[in-house]
Amino acid sequence: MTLQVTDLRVGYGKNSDILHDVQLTVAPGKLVGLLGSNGAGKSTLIKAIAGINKAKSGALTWQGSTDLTTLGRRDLARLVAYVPQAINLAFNQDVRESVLLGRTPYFGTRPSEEDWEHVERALSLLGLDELADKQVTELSGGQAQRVLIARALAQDPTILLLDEPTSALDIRYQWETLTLAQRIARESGVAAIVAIHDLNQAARFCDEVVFLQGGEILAAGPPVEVYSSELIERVYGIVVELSIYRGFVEIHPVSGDDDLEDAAGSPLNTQRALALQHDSAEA
Amino acid sequence: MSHTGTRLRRTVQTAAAFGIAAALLTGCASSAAEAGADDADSVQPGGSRVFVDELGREVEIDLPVTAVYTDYIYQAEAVRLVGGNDLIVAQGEITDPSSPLNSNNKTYLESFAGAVNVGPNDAPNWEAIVDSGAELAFVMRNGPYQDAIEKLEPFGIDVFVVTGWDPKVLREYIPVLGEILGTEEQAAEAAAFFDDIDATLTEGLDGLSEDEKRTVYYENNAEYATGVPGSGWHDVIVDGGGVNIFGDVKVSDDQSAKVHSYPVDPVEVINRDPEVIIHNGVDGLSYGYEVWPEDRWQGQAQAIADRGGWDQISAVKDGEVYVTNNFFYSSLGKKIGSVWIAKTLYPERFENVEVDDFFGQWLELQGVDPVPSSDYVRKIAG
Amino acid sequence: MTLSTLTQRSSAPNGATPTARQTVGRNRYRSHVVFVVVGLVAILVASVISVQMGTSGATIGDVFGAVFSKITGSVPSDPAVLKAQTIIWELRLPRVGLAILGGTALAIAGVLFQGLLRNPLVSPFTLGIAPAAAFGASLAIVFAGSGAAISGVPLVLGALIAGIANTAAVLLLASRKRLEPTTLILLGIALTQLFGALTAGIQYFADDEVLAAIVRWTWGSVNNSVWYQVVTLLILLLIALPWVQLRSGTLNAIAFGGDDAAKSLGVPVTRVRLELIAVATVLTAVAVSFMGIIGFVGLVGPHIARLIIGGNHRFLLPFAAIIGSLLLIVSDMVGRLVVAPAVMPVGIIDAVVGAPIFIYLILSRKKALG
Repeated sequence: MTLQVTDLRVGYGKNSDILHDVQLTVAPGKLVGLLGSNGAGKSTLIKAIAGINKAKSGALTWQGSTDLTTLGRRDLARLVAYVPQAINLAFNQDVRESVLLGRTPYFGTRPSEEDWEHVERALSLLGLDELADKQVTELSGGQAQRVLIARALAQDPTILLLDEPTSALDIRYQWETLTLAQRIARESGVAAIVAIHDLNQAARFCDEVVFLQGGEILAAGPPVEVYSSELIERVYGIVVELSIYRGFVEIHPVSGDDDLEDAAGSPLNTQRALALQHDSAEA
Repeated sequence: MSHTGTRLRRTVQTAAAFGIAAALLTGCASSAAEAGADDADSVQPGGSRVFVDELGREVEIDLPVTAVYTDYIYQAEAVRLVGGNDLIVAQGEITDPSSPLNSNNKTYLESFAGAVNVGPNDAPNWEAIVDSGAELAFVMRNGPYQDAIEKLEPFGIDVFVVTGWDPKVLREYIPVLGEILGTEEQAAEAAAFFDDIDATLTEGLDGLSEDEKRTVYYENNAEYATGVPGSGWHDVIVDGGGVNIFGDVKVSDDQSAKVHSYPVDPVEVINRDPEVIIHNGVDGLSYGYEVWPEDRWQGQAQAIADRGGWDQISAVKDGEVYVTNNFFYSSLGKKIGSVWIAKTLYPERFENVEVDDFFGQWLELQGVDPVPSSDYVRKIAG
Repeated sequence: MTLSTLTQRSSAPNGATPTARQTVGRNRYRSHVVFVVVGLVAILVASVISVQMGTSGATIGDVFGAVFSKITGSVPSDPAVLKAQTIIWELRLPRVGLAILGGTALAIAGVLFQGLLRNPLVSPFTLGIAPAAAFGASLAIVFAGSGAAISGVPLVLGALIAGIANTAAVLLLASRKRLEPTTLILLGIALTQLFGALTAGIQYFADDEVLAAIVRWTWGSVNNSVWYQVVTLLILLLIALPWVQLRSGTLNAIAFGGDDAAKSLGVPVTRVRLELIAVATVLTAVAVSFMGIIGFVGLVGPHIARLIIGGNHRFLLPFAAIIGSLLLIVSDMVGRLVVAPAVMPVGIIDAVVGAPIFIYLILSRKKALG
């Protein structure tokens, strides 16, 4: 009951592979964090598993026997759900209709009662009952993200892919979204992958992490085992110290810069600190 | 150019082949309709005759015709010219005396008051034409005559194409119109009148050598918009014995008067140095039977003379700048305009010819009180 | 195995009881169905009024009489009755028919284009069909002569072929970029400009009679409608309407989800886009070649429908068709009334009639556009 990615190569054209020979295993009930700098191939890997981009070679198998690359689009969509970064607002619709989109692989023109049951269940799982008749444009960023996750749940998937779901959210909704992803994985036995930037959040919520660089996997495993200051310096070009806090590995920027000290005032809000340090490293 | 032309033509031919399919598709609907239409005719046995219209179409018309539709002013004038005024039951909006469009021409159009206005000739209310009881439609070739055929023939209304603004067509069809409308007598009078003008022009211009001919620059109610061969505006100058300074411009191969105005470079007008300038119209005023206010005439003439560099032109230097009202200039397919041009260019040759004689006769044939032509023409003051 | 095992821990206090859930699906669209039914009745009523209305009055009896005579092939003996019936059959039914079907075609095409290109500012003419058709018609006028009938084969085919060829070119070029919406719109703008210039070129070289005929064609009008146009559009729509209705779910996924999300929901986005753009193009090109350029209905008709019934394409498609039909029928009636007995082109009136409705809806509906 695992998702197995074997020798996956993705790219456009001849010599421009974005992913090289990626190997990855995700067990059911586990939330796996994809880490790496911008352009490392996180989104590409997620879209390849979701069938949005076709793989050049390699295998994607589910439960050892189902080859995802040969499945029809609809069949694949019943197994794999994809949560995009942000909700599309070209046209307005209410929350319930937006979640109903998740049933697209199951009905033709007319949703059945069963489809509606899935929608209602997903809505209540994400606490969206009260918002169900609101228009998506009226929602906050966090609420909109919950709608997208509800849509993915309505899809009744066994593999859940989240493409940087926290990048547009404030800290509260980042937490909320990741807690939810973790809970969904644990309680429903879904194999979940989340692309994420914040190393501390990844350490806090993911069962395993995978470091990508230049389309290749550098390291994979539980955060406590994988995180090291050498690896992080290699991937992000920043110098950090590691510590263990209540059983979770935590990274801190090496002090010496007042700005960074202030920014890192909150032990969890390290994103800004990292960004600052990244900028100064590049400059 | 001709290369592309052939290719385009071929494309159209291919397209036409596809069209047959469409025609078949709808065959049943239209054939059923025609069957109904035949019965709709209250045919008087033996009372029909075949007439050939300007485009060579054979039109079988039941005689006598008691009610007609005219799509535009020239067709209505042609019918009135041959004495068929009372037969007009439906008309394009341009001849309706009660239309605000025609406030300048009320008196002249008064006799059409009884006919129903069916809208612009481009997009008439077909139903209103049917409802008027018209049996025959006189339409011009530069209008939607094929649509008229499609829409009116199911009701037994024959469509006859005769373009009244084209003097050649008009002269040829005056007797035919008389026969169709049963007004042969007045038609003969009108034809004689037309021929009289031609004879007067021919006689007056007889022996005029090319060197003696005077040059004319014509402006069609807008700055630098002139007439070139293929246009009635060119023909009227030539008929009057003048030389159109832009008579060498070739736009159209045929002589079917399709190009109504042609823009030219003002510098070129100076280069070609015309002896006479005619500007047909006054800015902001629409032409008609009503006489224009005195001050507007000279304003228009002066504006032409004042154009940059135009003081070099002979016509301006000699004070030979004329402003005309199209109501007069274009009457009888512009024949009256030709007489006026001839007399203006060569006063000694046409000493005994009075423009008002012809203009007056034209107005009489139209059933309107004669008015002097001097109300419709001004020479620049100075 | 999966979500069914997920315990409900979140706040789901009310409204989620099994009975409430079961009725959601059934009740949810009840009002939508009512709107559609009311709309269809409105079309019927408007059609009957429109057919009766005109220079020479006609009664409902004449209307049914005309249809009855055509079906049975009988010919009324009373010439007055015969004339009334011929007017209804030859002049009024085709114009009402063309208004209904042309409005339907343009509104459906508008919904398809807006959804497929995920852009509410898009119209059926965004890809350049209208100026291309105008160019084709102009070319046909040059060859067939300025007197050519607007409903005649050369003009209709010229417009139709050019309109379809235009979109084929856009799709062919855009296929290098996987038919991305932005690419499609930009190419559409390019071809719009190109064909606009080509038509202007024809007009520049054309003599005045050809010029007048081109301008005449450009007026969107149902004044010259004939039966074959009604029949052709009817056949097309009988194929196209069920087809797009079947695709309404996938259209929802593309319009509301975006390309990536739609793909992950099992929608072959590029194929569906190609297929439905083809359908929308044929509908638009045929409508334009029959009626000339009628701008408002394809752009704003879908929005009026969306503001009333919502964005779900399962209901938006049929309801936009209804709005499109009504707009053109009513506009044609107004066009025949205001300057009676003359007729104003429906392409002018529809914006005049529709704009106030649209403005009212924008201001009165909170749920407006995205």
